[in-house]
Amino acid sequence: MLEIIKYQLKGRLQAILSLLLIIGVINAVALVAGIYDFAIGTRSLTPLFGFLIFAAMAGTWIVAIVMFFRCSSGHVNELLFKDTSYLMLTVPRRGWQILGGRLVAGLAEFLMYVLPMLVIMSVYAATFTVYGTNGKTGFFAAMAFVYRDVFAKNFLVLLKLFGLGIFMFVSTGAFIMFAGVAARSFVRGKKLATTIGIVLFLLISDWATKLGTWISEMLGWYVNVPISLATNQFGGMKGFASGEMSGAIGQQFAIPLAPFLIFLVISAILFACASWLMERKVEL
Amino acid sequence: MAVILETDNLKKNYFSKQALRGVSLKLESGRILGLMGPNGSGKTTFLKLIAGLQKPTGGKFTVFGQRAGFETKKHVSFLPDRNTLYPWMSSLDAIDFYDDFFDDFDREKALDMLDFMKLKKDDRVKTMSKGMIEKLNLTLTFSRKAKLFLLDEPLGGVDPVARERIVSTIIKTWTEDSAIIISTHLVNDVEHIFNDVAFIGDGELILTGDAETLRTERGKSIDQLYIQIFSDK
Repeated sequence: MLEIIKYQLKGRLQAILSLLLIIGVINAVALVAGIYDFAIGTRSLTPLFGFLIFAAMAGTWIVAIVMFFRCSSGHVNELLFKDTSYLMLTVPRRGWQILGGRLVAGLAEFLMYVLPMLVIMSVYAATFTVYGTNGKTGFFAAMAFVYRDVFAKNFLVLLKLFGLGIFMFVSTGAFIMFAGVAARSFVRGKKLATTIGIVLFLLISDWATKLGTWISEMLGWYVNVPISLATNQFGGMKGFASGEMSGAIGQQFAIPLAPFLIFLVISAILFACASWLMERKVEL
Repeated sequence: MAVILETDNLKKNYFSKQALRGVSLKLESGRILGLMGPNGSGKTTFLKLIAGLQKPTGGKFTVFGQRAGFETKKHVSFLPDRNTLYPWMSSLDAIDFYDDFFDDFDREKALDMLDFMKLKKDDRVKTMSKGMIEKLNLTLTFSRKAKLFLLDEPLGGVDPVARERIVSTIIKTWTEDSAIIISTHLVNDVEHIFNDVAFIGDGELILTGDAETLRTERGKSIDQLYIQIFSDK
C-alpha cells in the first residue's frame, strides 16, 4: 500500500503545487490590496478590498470543498476510466491496497491544501483585527492572539474536531469509491457510470444520515464539544471599535453520535465491497 | 517443457456480442506464439483476459498451473496496445515504479535495455513520441522475469528502425523457462520468430500449430497463410 500512496502523491504533485500557487496568488492579491489601503490611511474596508477578500475567501473555500470530495474519492475516476488504469490493475496488489492507498494519499493531499488555507484564514483574521482596532493592535500581536486563543486554548477540542473531520473524509471517500467502482463494474460508459455513481453516493449518504440522526434522537446519543473564542475580536464592528483583546465566550456544539457510528459501519462495508468489486468485477 | 498457459473453452461476451467463443490452447515454456487475426477478431480480448484486466464469461485458464486471479498477475507481464504509463513519469520513474511493484523486476536489465533502446533516464512520457513510449513499455515489460509475456500489437505505429529494435529485444529476451504471446497483424515483420501460430477470427481459433510445420505442410509463409485465411472473411 505504501507504493500506491507514493506514486499517487508523485502523480498529483504538479496539480497540488499548481492549486496551492493559485490559492496563494489570489489571497496574496487580496492581502496586498488590504495592506496598500491601510498604508495610505484607509481605516475601513474599501469596496475593492472587500470584493477582493470576498473573492479570495470564496475561491479558497470552494477549492477546499471540491478537493474534499475529489481527494476523499482517491481520484478514483482516474483509476477507472483512463488508460493508465491498466498499469494499476495489472500490478499484483489487492483491491483494498489500491483503494486504501489512494484514500490515504487523498487525505495527505487534502491536508496539503487545508493547512495552508488555515494559515491564510488566520492571516485574514489578524488583518481584520488590525482594521477593527484602527491599527491599535499590531498584525503580529493579532496573529499571536489568533493562534493562542483560537488554536492553543482549544487544542483538545480542535483535536476532536480534527478527528471528526478525518472520519468524515474517510467515510465520504469510502462512499464515493463504492459508488464509483460499483457503477464502473456494471456500466462501461464513463458518463453513465459517473452519473449512476453520483446518484448512488447521494442516496447512500442521505439514508445513512437520516437513519443516524433518527437513532441519535431516539437514544440521545450526542457528544458535546465546548469551544471558547474571543468573539469581540471577530464579532463585528462593535467588537472592533472597542479595541480590546479580551472577552472570550464559550460555545457548545452538540454533535449527534449515531450518524458517525452508522457511517463507520457502512463505510467499512462499502470499502470492503468496493475492494472486492475492484478485484473481481472492474474490467478495462 | 512446462505448460505456461492453458486455456479451456475460454469465452467472453460483451452483452449480446460474443468476443471470444471458446478458445482452447496450450502454450509451453520456451515458445513464442504469434496470435494473428484482423481487427475485432478477439486478440486483445484474449490477452486482456489472461492479463487479468477482464473476466471470462465462460471457460477457464491457468498460468503456470495457477487458476486465474491475483496470483497469476505475478507471472504475467503485459504490454498493452496503448500507453499505460503516467504522463508525469520519466523513464527512471517508470523503472522505479516497476521495481516497487513487481518482485521479479530486474532493474539492471531495465537500465541496460534503456540504453539499448536509446532512451534517456530523464525523458518524460508526456514528451516522448509513440515509438519511444512503445520502446519504454517494452523495456519495462521485458525487464521482468515473468513466466508469460503478452505483447499486444507491439509493432503498431512505430517506424521500421524502432520495429527492428523491438524484434531484437524480443529475441534477446526469449528464455527457455518462459513463453511469449505476440498479437499482431504485421505478420511479415515478426513471423520468423514465431514457434507457434494461432489464427483467430470472430472470437474463434481458425488454425493453430507449429509455425515451421504449417509452412512446410502448406507451402506458404505465415504471412501468406494469414492473407489466405482472412481474405475471404
